[in-house]
Amino acid sequence: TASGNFCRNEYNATGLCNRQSCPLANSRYATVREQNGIIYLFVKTPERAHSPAKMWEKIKLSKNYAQALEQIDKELIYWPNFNIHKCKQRLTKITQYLIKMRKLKLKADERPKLVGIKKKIDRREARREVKAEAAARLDKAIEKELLDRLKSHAYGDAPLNVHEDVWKEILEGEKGEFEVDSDQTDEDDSQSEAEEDEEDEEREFVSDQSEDEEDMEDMFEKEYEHETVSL
Amino acid sequence: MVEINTIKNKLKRDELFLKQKTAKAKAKRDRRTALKNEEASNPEKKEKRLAENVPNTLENTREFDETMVEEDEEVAADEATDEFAQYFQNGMTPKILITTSKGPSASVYEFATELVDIFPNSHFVKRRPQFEMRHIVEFSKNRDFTDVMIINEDKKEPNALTLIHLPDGPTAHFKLSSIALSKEIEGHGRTSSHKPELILNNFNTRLGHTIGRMFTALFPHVPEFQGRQVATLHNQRDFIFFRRHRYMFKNAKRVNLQELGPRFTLKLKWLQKGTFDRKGEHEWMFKPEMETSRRKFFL
Repeated sequence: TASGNFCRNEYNATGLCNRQSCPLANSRYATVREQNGIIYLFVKTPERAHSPAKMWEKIKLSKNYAQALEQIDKELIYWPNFNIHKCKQRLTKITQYLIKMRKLKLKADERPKLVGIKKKIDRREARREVKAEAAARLDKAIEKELLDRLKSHAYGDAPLNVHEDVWKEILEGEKGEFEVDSDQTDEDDSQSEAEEDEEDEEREFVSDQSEDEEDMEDMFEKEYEHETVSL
Repeated sequence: MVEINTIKNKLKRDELFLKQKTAKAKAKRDRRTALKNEEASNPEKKEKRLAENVPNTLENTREFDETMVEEDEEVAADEATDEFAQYFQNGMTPKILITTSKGPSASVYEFATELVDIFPNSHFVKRRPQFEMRHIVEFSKNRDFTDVMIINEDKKEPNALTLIHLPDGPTAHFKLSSIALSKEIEGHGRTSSHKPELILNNFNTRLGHTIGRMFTALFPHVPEFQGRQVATLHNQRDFIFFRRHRYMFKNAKRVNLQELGPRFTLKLKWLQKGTFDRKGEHEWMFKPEMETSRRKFFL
């Protein structure tokens, strides 16, 4: 492909650096550029060369491609063919890439989402994984869990995954613990009896006749009668 | 005794330092052997010493997490009505679809065959380029699958696993690392078609519970104990280690384990409530800025 010096000026219509296409070297120049998806025709004339802020006339082109071409023809009437031609070429290219961009945006969901590789994070996680694995002591954890399940009878009373002898061993081990437990429960019974005695002491049997003031007066009257009789 | 660092003569200084060093080492050795002999005759002393000097580990000094679950009624009620209730209460058998990302390489296929071996009642389907995630989810729902697993790859190696529970179950995305296929494991055993037992360790927080239940729902309800196969998912510091073993009880205190099948590590990257939705919100997402403390774990 043919190559040449590239021009860095944003208003250059061709992109190459030569006398004909330099926006600085020519006092009468035109380009087509797009901003936010809208295409504009930028025109520079010698009449405005003294005010750099207002040098470029920004003309919004029609969204319709054919009408935009006609617009260019109308605005740049009597201009050299080179400028008109290059502007039209640019317009074509820009409309094409804008269409492509819009199509891609619609399909963006279906495209795999690219995630950056964060080296520092990856290194850190790899190191931590190694340490976590060491801390996990997987074999020991698995053995412990399996033994716990066996001892808690989670496999039932005649498990299929143990050898008979081993299972008997475990059952005997439990019986031994059970005997020890039953000794302890005897002690518990005697203790509970003692507790019951204490509770008995806390309890009393009380008659259901309530002690009212009237009764008390009756009692006193009776005593008085007795005394008089004895005298 | 002259201070060693005041002696100017290097040869003499080195000599004295070496003497001091060997003396220190000898003193330490003697102290330790004396302790060992004492404790050999008196095991209670050892227990006492161990109980007094408990070392601080990351697990011991873990930052307080308010989402830790311990016999909570509310949690139990939640779990009775969540997406896995079907599995836990009605005993629905899992049916798993395993597929890959588009254009996979050989190692991904190998890993996929291993996965098919791990989960009974799972099927591998080659990924067709015209189908996107949402199509896959739709198709699997139509064919009564309960879970979909998608293996993602990077640079010709599997690097991530997306697990979608159907219908409308949570979607979890894990980073896969340290994959060892069974042929790479020395002394590995042959798997049989018995349904394996499951061990899930250390899934303590609410998030951990959800993930734990998700894994449980991948395996059939009732294991076949006569197969003596066990699959373990052990969470340690947010890394979930997967192992498969065949066990044999040697006696009441020891179990022999033979490793079967692959081993790999998972790390949860994000969790979404419904099925996969690229623009949907995430119930939990890992961000490196969450990891400021060495003692903070999420699972």
